[in-house]
Amino acid sequence: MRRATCLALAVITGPLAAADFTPAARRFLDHHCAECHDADVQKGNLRVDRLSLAQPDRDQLNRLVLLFDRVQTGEMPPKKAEQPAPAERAAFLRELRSGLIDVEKKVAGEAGGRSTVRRMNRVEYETALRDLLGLPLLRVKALLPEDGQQFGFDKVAGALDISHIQMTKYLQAADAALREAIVSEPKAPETKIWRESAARQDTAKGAIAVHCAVPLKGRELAPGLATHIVGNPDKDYGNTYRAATFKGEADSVALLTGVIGAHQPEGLQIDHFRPSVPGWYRVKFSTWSLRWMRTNAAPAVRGLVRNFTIFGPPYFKNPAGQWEFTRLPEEKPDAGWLENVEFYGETSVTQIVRASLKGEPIGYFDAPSLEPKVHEFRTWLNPGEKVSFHAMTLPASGARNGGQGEGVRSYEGPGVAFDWFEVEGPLVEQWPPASQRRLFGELPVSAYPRPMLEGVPTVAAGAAEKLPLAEFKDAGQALGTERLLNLSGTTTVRFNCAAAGEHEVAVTASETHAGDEPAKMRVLVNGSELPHARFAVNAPRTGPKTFRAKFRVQSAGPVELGIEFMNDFLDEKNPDPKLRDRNLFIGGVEITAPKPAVVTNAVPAPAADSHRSLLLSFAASAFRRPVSSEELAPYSAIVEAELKHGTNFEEAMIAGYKAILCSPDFLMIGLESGVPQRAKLGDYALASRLSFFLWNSMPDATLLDLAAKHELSKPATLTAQVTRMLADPRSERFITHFLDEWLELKKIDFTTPDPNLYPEYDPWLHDSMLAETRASFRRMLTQNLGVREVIASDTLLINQRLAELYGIRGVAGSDFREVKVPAGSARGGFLTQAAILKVTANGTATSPVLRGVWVMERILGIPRQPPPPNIPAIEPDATGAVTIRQMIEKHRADAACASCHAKMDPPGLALENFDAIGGWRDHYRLAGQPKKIRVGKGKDSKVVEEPSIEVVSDAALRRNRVKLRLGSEVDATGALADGRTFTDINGLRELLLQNEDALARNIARQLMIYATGAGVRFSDREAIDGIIAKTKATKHGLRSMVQEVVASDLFQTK
Amino acid sequence: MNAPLNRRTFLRTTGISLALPFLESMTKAIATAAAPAGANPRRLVAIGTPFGFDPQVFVPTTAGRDYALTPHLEHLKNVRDDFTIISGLSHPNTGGGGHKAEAVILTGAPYPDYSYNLKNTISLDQEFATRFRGQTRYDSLVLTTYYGSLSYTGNGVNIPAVDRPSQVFAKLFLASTPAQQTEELRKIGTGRSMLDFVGDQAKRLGKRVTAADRARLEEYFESVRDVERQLQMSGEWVNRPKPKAPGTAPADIAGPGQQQKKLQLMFDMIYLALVTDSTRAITIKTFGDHHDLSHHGKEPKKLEACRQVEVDLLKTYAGLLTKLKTAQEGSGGNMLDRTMVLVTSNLKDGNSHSTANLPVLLAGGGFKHGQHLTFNKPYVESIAAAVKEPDAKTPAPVVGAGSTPLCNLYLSMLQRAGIASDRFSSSSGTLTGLEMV
Repeated sequence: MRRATCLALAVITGPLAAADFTPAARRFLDHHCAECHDADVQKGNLRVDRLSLAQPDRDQLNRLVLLFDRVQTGEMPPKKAEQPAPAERAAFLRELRSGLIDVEKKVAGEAGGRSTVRRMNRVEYETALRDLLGLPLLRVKALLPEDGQQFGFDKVAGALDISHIQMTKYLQAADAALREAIVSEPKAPETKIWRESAARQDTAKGAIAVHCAVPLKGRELAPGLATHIVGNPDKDYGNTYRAATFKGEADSVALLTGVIGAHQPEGLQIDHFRPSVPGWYRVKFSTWSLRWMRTNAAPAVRGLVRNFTIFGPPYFKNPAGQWEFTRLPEEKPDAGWLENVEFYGETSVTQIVRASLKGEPIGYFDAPSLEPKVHEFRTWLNPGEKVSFHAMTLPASGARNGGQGEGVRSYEGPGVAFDWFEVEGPLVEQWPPASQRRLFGELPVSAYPRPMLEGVPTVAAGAAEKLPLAEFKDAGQALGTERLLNLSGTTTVRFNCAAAGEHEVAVTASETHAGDEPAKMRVLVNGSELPHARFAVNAPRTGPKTFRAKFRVQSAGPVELGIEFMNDFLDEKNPDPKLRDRNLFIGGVEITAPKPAVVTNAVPAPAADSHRSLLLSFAASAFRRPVSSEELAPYSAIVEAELKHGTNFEEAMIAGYKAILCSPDFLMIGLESGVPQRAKLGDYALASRLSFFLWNSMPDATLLDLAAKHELSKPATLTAQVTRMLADPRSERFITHFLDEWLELKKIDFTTPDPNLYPEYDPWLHDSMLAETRASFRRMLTQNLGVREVIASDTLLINQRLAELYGIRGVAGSDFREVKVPAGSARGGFLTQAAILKVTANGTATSPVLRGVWVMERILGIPRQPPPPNIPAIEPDATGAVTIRQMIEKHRADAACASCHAKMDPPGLALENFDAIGGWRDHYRLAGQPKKIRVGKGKDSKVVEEPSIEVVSDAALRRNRVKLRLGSEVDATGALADGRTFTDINGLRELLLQNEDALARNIARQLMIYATGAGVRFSDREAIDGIIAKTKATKHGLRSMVQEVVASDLFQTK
Repeated sequence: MNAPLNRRTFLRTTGISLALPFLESMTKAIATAAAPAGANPRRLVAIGTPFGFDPQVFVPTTAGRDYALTPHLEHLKNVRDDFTIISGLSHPNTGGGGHKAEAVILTGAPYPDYSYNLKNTISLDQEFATRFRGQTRYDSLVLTTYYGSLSYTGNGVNIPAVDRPSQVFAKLFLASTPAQQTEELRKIGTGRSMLDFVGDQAKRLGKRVTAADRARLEEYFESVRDVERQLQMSGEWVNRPKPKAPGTAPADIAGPGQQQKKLQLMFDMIYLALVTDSTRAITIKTFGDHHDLSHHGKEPKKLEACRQVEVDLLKTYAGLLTKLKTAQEGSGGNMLDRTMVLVTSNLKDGNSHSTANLPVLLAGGGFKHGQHLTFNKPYVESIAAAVKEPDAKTPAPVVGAGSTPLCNLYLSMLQRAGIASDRFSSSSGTLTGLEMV
């Protein structure tokens, strides 16, 4: 039967048989593989009789690579089957290997190198525009459609298709970015320093009014805090409460809660400072933490949060019939609750403050106990924007607002004080700002001349010139010495202005009246309405009036003036023929020009063809290579055509710049050294490959300079440049983007942890998680740490919030610091970092399968195989009836599923001790409050509460501590596919660390795909192994690997 | 324009419910502004939702015309004869795509596993729209009530969606002033000449490059040419008046939540877009806020809440169908008869995360409706068993994908619109049992 199949195949592939497997290899396949992978059984959807080296297609190639890998690792033939002799296996692999490389070449066709020219992805596009235009905060990414991914990265040519959607958006984005780069103010705005007490801010008063904050004089309650009753206890007791008002002077304000009521989600703001000019501002503030003791601030120590209650009726009516609070000498404390922070540093409490702008965190800052600390940060503020502060570590609720308490006077708990806020700005380094200099150089736009129009009037500097009415066009008609507009419409005229600056236009007009309003007129320059230039022409034919408006001419050159008649009206039936038709008559238009500008500095006037030199230097940056003037000609032509049309210099240049930003030379990476060849990259192409790898953007002047001198490709230069680039802050973009893609950190918000199961998940934790993983990667780079750090590390980079999550004591404050992993902790390495554990879980549950696959693919570099086509799905059940392990075991009972799952699941099983937000668990959490249940039988039975844990809640959830039901115990044991067993994550670590080369090979592969924008092919494996061999000495240090990737032929050739 | 209707009257009625007697004349009134004379258009509205429907309350347990309405379909009983429920269809080769397979709801491109190097293909609506390019002001409208879109261009690029009803309203009705129009035309002109030139540059480059690079650059030129074509067309439309606005723009609903209200608003906009013949192909991605709920893990409370969310979607859908059914077509008959309104998902349901046996409802568009077509008998049988005995000790087996591609339905829909293709994406033919009227 089997023979017959082979025979049939031989007949079909007869003519190609020469290039196919040798008889020996065919025998190997027949003997060792065909039993399961023939036409009858087709296990894993594979038929070896269909395999051939003679039919180069992608599907065939993928199967052959898989075959190679399985036979090489010894996974196939399966253990229970007869094993080929080592020599036989090696011979087969040798042949398969060379055959495969041939097949791969054929499949690739005349592709010309591994990589192809590709467009920038939207992250690169945004960063490149930021660098090109000198706008560090430019946001255009959201305008562009999301990019695809191949081989796990959005840098691969095959995933970066271009369509009209992108082109349209590029046009829009370029336009928006260029306009943002240009400033209209001729002079730099003045930098001012503003400083005010925090207690004077409106939001501070708002917080005081609801007992969420205290005004302080020194460390005492500031005099002048009073409370009054709001509502009427008789009529609506439930809506009656005690509000606070503060009429005194305070040094500081201390927040007592993490959230200030639902009506003030913005927290405490710097609201008395209103920026009027967009720009960078330096913000300083002074903060400290305390323990509020009803009337004074004590050192911040951890303790019970207590409200004191007055017993007796809360309100009474005084003899005047007004409601007052009951005041009794006796106060009794509530039971209180443990405060929000699980544990602090050893000595004193540090509370944490978050500064944010429009909900986006700016940073986290420490407030030490009783010691005011001054913090400082820079932020960009647009007019009217206010910086917010929240105390992240305070309880959700504070002093009572009911009648039974006296607000903050009967409250004890933690607090964070703010003394003052200072804002300095806008911080101007140079004027015009860098962004404008990139486009227009040192000179103000007004300095650039524009070609004058011929055959139109010219208004000389300092002159007052009457425009001849005969020159007016479009709407209306000449009528005697006047122009009549009898229908709504705009009449226009073009003229030259010899001077830049503010001009005045005076229009003398009259109307024939009809209807219930006078004729309305407005004046426009170059199509846009002038300020204060809408006029009601209340002037009869006998008494024309003059209407004046002002306009600015940016630079000498043509101007188009328009006068619009806005409200034509016809009432043919009006008995008075004089009141039937409303018309506008223009009797004269006079322009008054400013005096010629006095030249104050010695800057020579720019040349008439300065647009060319501006375009040339911009294009050279944008194209990341020198640009010839010939190449530039068409771009200049666009600008010239615009100028000729009368467009102002700025707009004309924008048109030219836009064309540059939409050209393939800017958008496509790989064209920098001319037509891309198969061979070594040219100097400029190499510079771009390097900068898009490590900076996600275009090369800087240094790199371009080295490229121009043909120095860049020298090994020593490259090494030095990589070192320089990694030390530059721009390398942060590499870390962020590479990790976003490789470890899927960009999916961190794909699911939100269920607040009923994970009430402790808060924004600080979210931000800290990401920061930890990025900082760990940065540390590996800087210290050139070996690849084992990915799996196991004796050092953590954490802050207080992560220390709480990880159960590590002695870490106080928001700063990230190196902490040795304490004995008994399961942490260390990327696998046990909260961010990784979060992205591999959904919001409610974790699945060992998903986590397992993730570890296999991302960390071990073993690609996942798609599930068979009609596989039944697993239906998650969180009711506690079935555990995830039972479900998986049931699934794996099916032999077809077991073969893959035996490989996929084990790493995930070892991670079962970590919940969906990265916390440690011995038992699974279940939804809902613990119930009272009866245990035991008969008279021995008793009622007990279900097992539970108490969790500190995120302040934003407006709860303090929550009890959560616990379910079954976690079982983190498992066995790898080869039979080696582990009992928990530490066991798995040991097994994974036995093959450091495999870990290194994976990272080298991921870096190579990211850096070159192309997948790593079978034939590239040798090159990857070469990199691994070279980094062995440093135990595959991360920086060495980056260096070796850059030094490799794969990187330096197309 | 001689509108036989008072605009204010119309304004009052275009909200959530439309007063029926006004509709026909209003339809005529606003349609005369844009509809080309003698047009007898076919239209397509495709609604995609990311977490499917709970099959136990959605899929009927018997096939054919006399199937019993399930709890979910009960909400569509007034339009029972105007839609077909189709079960057992799948996109082949999307077994491991999960949520990422949202990208292929309307394209049918393979997505065998999560890490697959997706090469997406044209979506149903774009295939439909490109055949009628230029006949309406907008070739297609791509909408969403949360984020992302269902539509992909010929080379697989996702088309960004409009997410604010007010923006759709502005596109449909708000005319620019003559000055703005002139400026817009000038901009279009500059845009075209700029691209023209950029294309020329690229062509010179293109002659000297290797095949793979040329393919990449070719894609670039093609996109430039496409934009030019589009700019040219928008240039032509700039001078044609837009229909008169039936009132003021709707107020948008910000932030997550209120899924039904958001969809209702967008459906109102879709209705207006169709009535004014501003476009004939619309996609909308909707109901994406209940991700966490869709992973209900069979917890009774969550399951109940999740089903309620699904019902909200179906009720809103029924409303749109009713509205289209009562609107008169210019050439006679009602609008629903010429408008195919599809609902589907990339997942059977959120909890199973299975991309097999996708939920499909098709209404209107000139098919014989009122039946349950099934293409995976064991799947329907397993649901019947589960419905019969919900607490069975051994639950009914979960059934994998059948062999009929969802794209067979898409091909039938394209053919119904008069597009003479014999293939769309993974289709193996048209959908058997679905007959044209």
